Amino acid sequence: MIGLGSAGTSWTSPADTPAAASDSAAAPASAAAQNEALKRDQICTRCHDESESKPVLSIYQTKHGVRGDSRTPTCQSCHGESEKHLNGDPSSHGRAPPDVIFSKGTYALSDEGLRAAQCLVCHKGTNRTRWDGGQHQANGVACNNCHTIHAPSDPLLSRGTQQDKCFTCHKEQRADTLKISTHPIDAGKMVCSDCHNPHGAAGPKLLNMNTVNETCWQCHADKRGPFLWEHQPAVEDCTNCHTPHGSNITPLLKSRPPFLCQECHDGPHNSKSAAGPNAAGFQGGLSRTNAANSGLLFPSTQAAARGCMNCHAMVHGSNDPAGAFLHR
Amino acid sequence: MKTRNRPLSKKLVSLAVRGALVAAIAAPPITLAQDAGTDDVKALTLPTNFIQVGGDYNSNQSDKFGEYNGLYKQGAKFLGDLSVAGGDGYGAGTGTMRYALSGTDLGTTAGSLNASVSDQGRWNLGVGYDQLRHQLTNSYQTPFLGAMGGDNFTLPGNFGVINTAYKPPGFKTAPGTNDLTAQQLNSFRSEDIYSDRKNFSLTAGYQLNANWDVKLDFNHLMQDGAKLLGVAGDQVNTPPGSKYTWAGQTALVLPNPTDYATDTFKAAANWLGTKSYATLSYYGSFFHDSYNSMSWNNPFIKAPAGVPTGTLSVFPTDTISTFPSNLVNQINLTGGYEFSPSTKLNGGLSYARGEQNMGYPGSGNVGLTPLGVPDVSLHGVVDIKHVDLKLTNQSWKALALAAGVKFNERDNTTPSNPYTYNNINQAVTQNETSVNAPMSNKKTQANVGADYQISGGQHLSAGYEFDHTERWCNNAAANTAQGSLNVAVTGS
Repeated sequence: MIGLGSAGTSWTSPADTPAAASDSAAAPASAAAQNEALKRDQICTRCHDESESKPVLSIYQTKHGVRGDSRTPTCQSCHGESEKHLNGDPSSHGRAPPDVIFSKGTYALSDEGLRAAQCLVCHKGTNRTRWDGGQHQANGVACNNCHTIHAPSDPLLSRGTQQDKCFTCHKEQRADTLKISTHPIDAGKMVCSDCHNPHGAAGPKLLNMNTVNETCWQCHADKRGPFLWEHQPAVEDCTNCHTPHGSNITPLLKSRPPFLCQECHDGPHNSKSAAGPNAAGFQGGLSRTNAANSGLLFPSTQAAARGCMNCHAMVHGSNDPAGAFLHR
Repeated sequence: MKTRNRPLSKKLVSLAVRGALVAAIAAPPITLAQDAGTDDVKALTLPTNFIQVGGDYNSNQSDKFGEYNGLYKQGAKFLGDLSVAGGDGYGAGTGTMRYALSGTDLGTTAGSLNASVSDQGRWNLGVGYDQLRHQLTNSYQTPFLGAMGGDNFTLPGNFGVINTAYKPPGFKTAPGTNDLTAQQLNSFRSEDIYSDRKNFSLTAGYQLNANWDVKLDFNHLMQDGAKLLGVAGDQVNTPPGSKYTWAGQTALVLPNPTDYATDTFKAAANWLGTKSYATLSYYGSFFHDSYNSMSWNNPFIKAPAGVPTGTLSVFPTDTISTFPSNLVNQINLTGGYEFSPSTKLNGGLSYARGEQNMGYPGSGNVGLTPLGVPDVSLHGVVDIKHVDLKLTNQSWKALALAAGVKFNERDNTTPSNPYTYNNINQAVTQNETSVNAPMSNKKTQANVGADYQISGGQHLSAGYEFDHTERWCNNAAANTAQGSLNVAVTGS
C-alpha cells in the first residue's frame, strides 16, 4: 500500500523554470519572449541539429515545442544551463556533460530522482498527485524511462503502442495478454492506463480508481448493482474469480469451474470429499450417485460445460425475486 | 540526445539552420519556419499527414483470430487509416492553435476516429468515436427463434418436447430414448454470437489562469449483441394449469442480450500552487439496460398424457433477470503539499452513492412465478467512502521513509425483505422464502516503513502494516436469516 524506495524526489531542479506553470500565467508568449526562448534553444541546436541520430528537433511537433505558449520549456529548462558543457571544464577529460542526462550514451545517465524532478517542476498534481511513494517512484523509475519526449508522438500516449512500453518490465502481464481469454490489449483497443495510473494511485496495483471493483465497473457497469441477491466475492473484489490480464479459462477466470466455485462452496451440493471408490457426493464434476449404480463415474449435470454456472448463471448478482440462489 | 566532443559541425545544412535562426532573431517576431527551410528540418518539425486506403483479405474465417480485430469472416474488406494535423502552433507558426484528425482500422468493426483542436495554454476540445466487436463464437447452434440481441426466444411450433429419459453411460441409443427427434435436429441453425461496443467521447479543457484549470470528459457507450449464458429450468410431468411435479432440472445456453447504454461524466477543477496542488472532481456513471429479463420456451416440459411428442403447441416460458440499470455519483478531493523538497504529503477523500431501482422481472413459468414480492423494485442504495493519506520523506537519497493510512467503506443501505418463490429443482408444493442480505464492508489499512538502498537493486526494508476488514448487514431480518437463506418453508 505504501511504497518505499530509494528513488529520491528531494531534488531541486537545476534548470531555470521561467515557464513553470506555478510561476507564469497561461497566456500566449509575447514575440520578445518567443525570441528569447528560441535564442536559448539555439545555443543547443547549433550542434544538436537535424543530423542527430535522435530526433532532437522533433520536439517542435510536441506540446513542449509550441513557442506561442508561455509555459513552453527551453532546452535548458530540462537539461540545465550546462555551463561546463558549453564552455568547457578544465578538470574533465573532453567535453563536460550537460547538467541533466536523460538517456545513456556518451555520458552517464543522471539519477532518476533528478530526471523526474525536471518534469515535476511543471507536471505535478492532477494525475501525479500520488507520485511520491508510488510503486514506480519507489522503484527508481523516472518519467523518461517510459515517456519519449522529443519524438513527434510519444508511444506511451498512443493506443496500440503503450502496452509495449509497459511490458518491457511487466513481462508476466505481457504473457497473460497472449492467452486464450483476454481483454483487447493485444489488439490495441485497450491500454494499461485504462485501468492503471502509473504515476501513483490510492487503489491497489496503481489502479486509477479507489478499489478494484470501482475500476472494473467503469466499463462493466452492468455488474455494479446493487443487486437484490448479491454474491459477496463479486461485490468485494472482482479478482477473487477473475485475472484481468488474461487467462486460458474463459472468461478471464483464475481456475476452471466447478473447481473455482468449490474453492468456497464445499458443501453437500459440491462435496469436498475426494472422488474415489467409496466417495459420496460430487467432486470435480464426477458423480456416482447419478450413475444408476453402474459403478461408473461420469460428469454430473451440475458440472458439465459451464459447470455450476449452468444453473447459477447470475454469479455477479440477481435482480429477480426468484433468484436467491442466483438461478434467475 | 547525442553530445559531441568534436568542433561544431560546419555542414551546409547546419549553417543554413543557424543562419535562419540568426536572421529570424534579427527580425522579430522570430518563427521556427525561418530557420526551418530545409527539408530535413521540416521533416522533423512539421507533422506528417497521411491518408491510407487499402484492403484486407482474410483466407479463412475464425472467430478467435477475429475476436477483437473485426477479421472473423473470410473475404475482402476495406481498410482505411488517416492522420492529419496542422495549425499555427506547428513549425512556421507563432501561434498556439493545433488541430488533428486521426482514424485507424476504418472499415472494420474495430475502427476509431478522433478529432481535436486546441489553443495550447487556453483551451482544448476533442471528439472521438471508437467501436469494438467482441466476436464470441461462430459455431453456436440453437433451435430457438429470435435474433441475437433480443430478449425472447421461442421454439418452432412443431418442435415438441425433448425426451429427457435418463440414459446411463454406455447405453446404446435406441428409438424412444433421450435423442432429439429428426424434426428437432432439423430446427437447429448456426449463429454468430458477438457483443458490440460503440463509444462516443467528448473532452474539453480550459486553463483559467496559471493556477487553475478545468477539464470535462463525457462518454456515451452503446452496447448491443449478446453473450452466451447458461440458463436453468425444470422438467415437469404435468401440464401447465395444474400443479407441477418436479422431474429434474435442465440447462440451456442462450444468447443473453447486452443492449446497454452507459453515460459517463467526469469533471475536474485542478489547482496548482508553488508547494501544493489539489483536484476537486466529479464522476458520474449511468448504466441503462433496455431489458430487465430474458425469456425462453422451456422445451423440457413433458407433454400431457395422450399428447404425442412434437404436438405440444404452447411451451411454458421461463425467465431470467438481466443486469439492472443503475447509477453512481462520486465526489473526489485529492491533493498534496510539499513541506520541503524531501518531505511530502498527499492524499484524497471520496464519497459516492450508488443506486439501483429497476423494476423486477416477472416470470411466465408458473412454477417460478414470484409468489411473495414485497415491492416492485429494490430501492437499492450503496454509500461508498474513501480516505487515504501518505507522508514521505527522503532527506537522504539512500533512505526513504513513508507512513500512510487508507480507509474504504461500502455501506449497503438497501432494504431487506422476505421473498417467497418457487425455486428450480422444487415442486410448487414447496415454496421457499429467502431474505436478501445487503452486506456492507469496510477496510482499514495503515503502514509505516523505511527502505535503505544498499547499492543498485539491493534494498534493506523494514515496516509495519495493519490491515483490518469488517463485514456486516444493516438489516436485522437479514441478520437473523444469515447462515441459511431458508427462513421459512411453507406448503401450498
